[in-house]
Amino acid sequence: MVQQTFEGEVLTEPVVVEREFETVDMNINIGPQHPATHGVFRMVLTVDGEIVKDAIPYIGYMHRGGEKLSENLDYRGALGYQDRTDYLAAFNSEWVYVNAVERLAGIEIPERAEYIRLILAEFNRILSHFMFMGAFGTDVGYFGTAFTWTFKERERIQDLFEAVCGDRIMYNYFRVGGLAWEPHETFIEDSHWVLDQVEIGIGDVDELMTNNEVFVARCRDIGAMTADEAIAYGVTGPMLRASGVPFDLRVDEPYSIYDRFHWEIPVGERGDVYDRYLVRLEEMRQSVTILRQALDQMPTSGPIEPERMPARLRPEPGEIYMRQENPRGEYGIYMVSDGTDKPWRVKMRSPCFHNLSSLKPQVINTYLADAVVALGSIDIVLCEVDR
Amino acid sequence: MTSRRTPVAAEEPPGNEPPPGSIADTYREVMPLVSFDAAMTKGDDVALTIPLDAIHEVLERGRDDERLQMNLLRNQTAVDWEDRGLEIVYHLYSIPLRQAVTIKSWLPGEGAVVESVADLYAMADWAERECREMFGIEFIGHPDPRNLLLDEDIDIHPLRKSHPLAPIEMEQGVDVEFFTKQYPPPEPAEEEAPADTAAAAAPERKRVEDMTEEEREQRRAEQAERVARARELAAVRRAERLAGAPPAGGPRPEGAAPPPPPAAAPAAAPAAAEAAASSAPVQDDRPPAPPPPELPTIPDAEEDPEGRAAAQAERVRIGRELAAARRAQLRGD
Amino acid sequence: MVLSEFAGVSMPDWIDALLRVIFIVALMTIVAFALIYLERKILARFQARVGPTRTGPIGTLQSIADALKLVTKEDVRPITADRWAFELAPYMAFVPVFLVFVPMPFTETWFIRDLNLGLLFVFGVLGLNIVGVVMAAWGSDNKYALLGGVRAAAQAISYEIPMLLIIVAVVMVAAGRLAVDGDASAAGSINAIVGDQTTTPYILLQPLGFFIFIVGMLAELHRPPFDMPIAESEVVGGYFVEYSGMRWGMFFLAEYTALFLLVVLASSLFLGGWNWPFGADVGLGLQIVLTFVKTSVMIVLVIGSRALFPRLRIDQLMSFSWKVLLPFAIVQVIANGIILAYGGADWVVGLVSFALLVALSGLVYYIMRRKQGEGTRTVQTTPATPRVITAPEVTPVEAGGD
Repeated sequence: MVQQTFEGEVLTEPVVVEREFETVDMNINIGPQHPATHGVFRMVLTVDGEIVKDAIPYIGYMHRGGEKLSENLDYRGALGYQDRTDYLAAFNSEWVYVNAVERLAGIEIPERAEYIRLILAEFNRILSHFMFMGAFGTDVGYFGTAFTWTFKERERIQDLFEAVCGDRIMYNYFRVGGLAWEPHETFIEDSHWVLDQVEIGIGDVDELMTNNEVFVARCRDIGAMTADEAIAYGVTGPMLRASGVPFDLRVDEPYSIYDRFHWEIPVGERGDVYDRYLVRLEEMRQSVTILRQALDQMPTSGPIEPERMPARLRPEPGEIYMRQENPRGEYGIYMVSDGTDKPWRVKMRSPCFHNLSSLKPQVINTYLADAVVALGSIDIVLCEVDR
Repeated sequence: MTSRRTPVAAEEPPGNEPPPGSIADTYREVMPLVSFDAAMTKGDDVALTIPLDAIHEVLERGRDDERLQMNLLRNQTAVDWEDRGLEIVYHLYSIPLRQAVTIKSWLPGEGAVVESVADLYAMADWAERECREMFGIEFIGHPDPRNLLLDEDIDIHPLRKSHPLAPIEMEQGVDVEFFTKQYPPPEPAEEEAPADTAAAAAPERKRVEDMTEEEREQRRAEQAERVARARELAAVRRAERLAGAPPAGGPRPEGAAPPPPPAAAPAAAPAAAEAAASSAPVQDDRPPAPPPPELPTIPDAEEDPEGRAAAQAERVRIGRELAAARRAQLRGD
Repeated sequence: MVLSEFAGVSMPDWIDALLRVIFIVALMTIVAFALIYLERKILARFQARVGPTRTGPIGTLQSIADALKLVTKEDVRPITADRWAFELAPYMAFVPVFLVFVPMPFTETWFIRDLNLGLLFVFGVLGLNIVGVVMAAWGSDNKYALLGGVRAAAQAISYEIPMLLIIVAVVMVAAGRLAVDGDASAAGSINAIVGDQTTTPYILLQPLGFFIFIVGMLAELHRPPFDMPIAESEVVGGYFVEYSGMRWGMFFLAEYTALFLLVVLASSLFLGGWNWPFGADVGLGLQIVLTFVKTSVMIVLVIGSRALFPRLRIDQLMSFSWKVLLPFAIVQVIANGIILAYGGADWVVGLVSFALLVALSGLVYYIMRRKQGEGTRTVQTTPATPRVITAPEVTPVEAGGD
């Protein structure tokens, strides 16, 4: 890890202090109950003073056996479980699941339903990134300001979701083949209004954090990963793009109707914490662009579910690995059907799981405070890591 | 082995042959000596089934060859096909060439051993740890084969189809003593209390504010008695736990590959059961409970692996019987 | 001051001093309560919230409710804690802060004692504060507390040195100006320094000094961006992580009292304290109002820094102190010495100090911008068609596979 001092000189090794006496390294537990772990994650740091010598991450506190549960429910019944994995981007997770089932069973989706799904998922991406900005700001040391500012905007999006599907976190609104019900009448107008507010909110966060000297000092060159390292660790999403790889499943393996919109993929240069922040900030703006186009293109009337749906889903035997771009990276559902009404195997490929596995090389030989910042920049959702 | 349904349909590999010019042909030309069974999945991916011993080489050459450049191992998992064994699945993707492939291989259902690819893809470190604990597949050459999501000292494989959902969770070999212990019977007062008439039960539900001073006194005395009894019981259980504490599960030393199933069962379980039976104050007029069956001692893994497995199976069997009896008793028949 | 002046009663000195002490302690408790309320309200405004509203009219009794809660809470001591260190630490942190109020001039005549070396007393006693913090950290037998305590000690040592040097520079200027009246030896008294600022507040003469004092003050107080000793996301509250109830409340009270104290000191040294800016002597009633107005402005600044700055890292904080603040403070002292020795005018002192401040700001700005580098760049991409095999032409290869 490259360390940079306040003056900008680059040291390839941590500061070595000549000692006249023997010191011992200390093990310190970050988690499972610690304000910086975003849930129940535990990492045992071996610290020499303030410098981290070793880190052992422990996960699994939230393991609920979601894959096993999904195998014992029918194809539609396990949908609600997807809300509970990545609860900050529940629409995105649901979307992957219903897409997997639809592709497996060969069900066509009406165009309007596809648009509404895309709009909700992109809104959810913005919501999730707002949550990241707030939580990350708290990790870096904003005393709640970033958190409340971003939550103000997040609330607006949640209000929109509540109007659409009646819930604020566990939506359970997508269905295999379409949507549960029509969104409310003023959905498009409300969405435009929310987008206007959200754009202002993004600007606020930008002004609060991006050019703040202390923020830059804390984030630049912390936890830097090269592109090869990141790919080897299976890192995807904004973290990989911050390392300079323009890999976005919406473009590289296009699904849904993303080929109808024009937008750009933000790519970082150094792969450090600051780039991850900037990439996410720019992604929110790009999501707003996508949303504006989608709201304009969306058919105002039409069916939201296929004309005929089988009462019991019994897909032909086969398998599918459905993957989509979630706010945190590539979320995949590997689903194997054996011809019955329950999936034989459901594997959730969670992006946070693999992003988190790259934490150890990021934090070794950094300061304790940097370990917290690097952890925050991964934007983990422990429910999704542990499933 | 409770099979929920038979994977009849899975006898035939799903999908059909991919079109010519697909990535399957590239693989065949890069590695002509490996047999690739190609099929299309429902997601229009190419799935290649290869022999088990070729996994490491196929992944390594797939990563390094410039026609494939499979630099992203995006997912790794396994599927339990019961009688047909396990199927290990690698989902690979090439970011520069934008091509995806699925590599699969068949494993035997018991004692599956695969060569680890953690030296090729750092991502496989955690993925293989998860696969190992969930399916019981041993990965040779894995740098850190500990449990990841489950407890460190647990050695069950929950995603195997032989592991049904609910009941077995109680009898993981870890807590067999739960069904064998003799705890003091419930208080006679509770048994004698006339629970059928609502009027008789009404005074107990009287609000504290409405009670007379005598009733309060009585209530306090009852509570104190209950607390004392609970404390006594807790002390007994703590003593049992301390007597039968399982050995601390730590990282296994390297070099012992493939390691046997990790040690998890409490070594001093019979001693704990005896302690429980002797220290628990048994005084009741009900028919005495059947004596606890004798649990086999689990031998050390390195000395006697077969005997160990047999002992574990025996303990699980006893545990299941006791659990069934316990459930029947709880249901009241 | 209290009785002897208003009531015209003569009394022994020790009774007079005792009354003053009691008055100050009572006043400070009220001020700390008010500060806590203000902080919550102002911080809430910064954070798009409304703050406390339920206790009393617009939440004004919130601090009293908090205090009641703290007093009635169980006082928990960890079983492995070092008993005496743990229990004495709050007092060690609390008492020095109150002692420092002895030479603080709230008005021209309103203080406990006008010490001739008041500034030296202030920093001598305030430094004892850190002993309590380290005792709490060590006594708690908690690794987070230990890290926080060590951070606090390192931070206090680093920041008191530039602060003291800047005080030296201020005293030099004050001595130069007081020498005109013939009493340069009074320059160590805070009241004398304030009395000299009837027309020219020292912020005009020593702007760099004001800046360094504010930075050092924030570090002394563990306020963002220098709050690593109590950083929640790193050391979970730092040295008082194991404290509860009123012992924790004493740390809290000491912190807010120290905030008020240092702000009063800053406004006395740099903003003219109880002086009306235009030189007219306005009497006791307005003097106390002026003191409080000036301190309030600075308190809002301090609270705003809490809302708007993240936290520095401990090594960055130390680098900033030793490599930036300390050299500039030394240069300031030397410059003052040279100018005053050659009898330079006041405006020369002010101009040089202002130039140094500009240089410091420019240096920090330059370093940070260079560190930040270019922002993100965006690449235009066109959506690809699904599943296009773009592999190069396949050529026959030598035997491979297994």
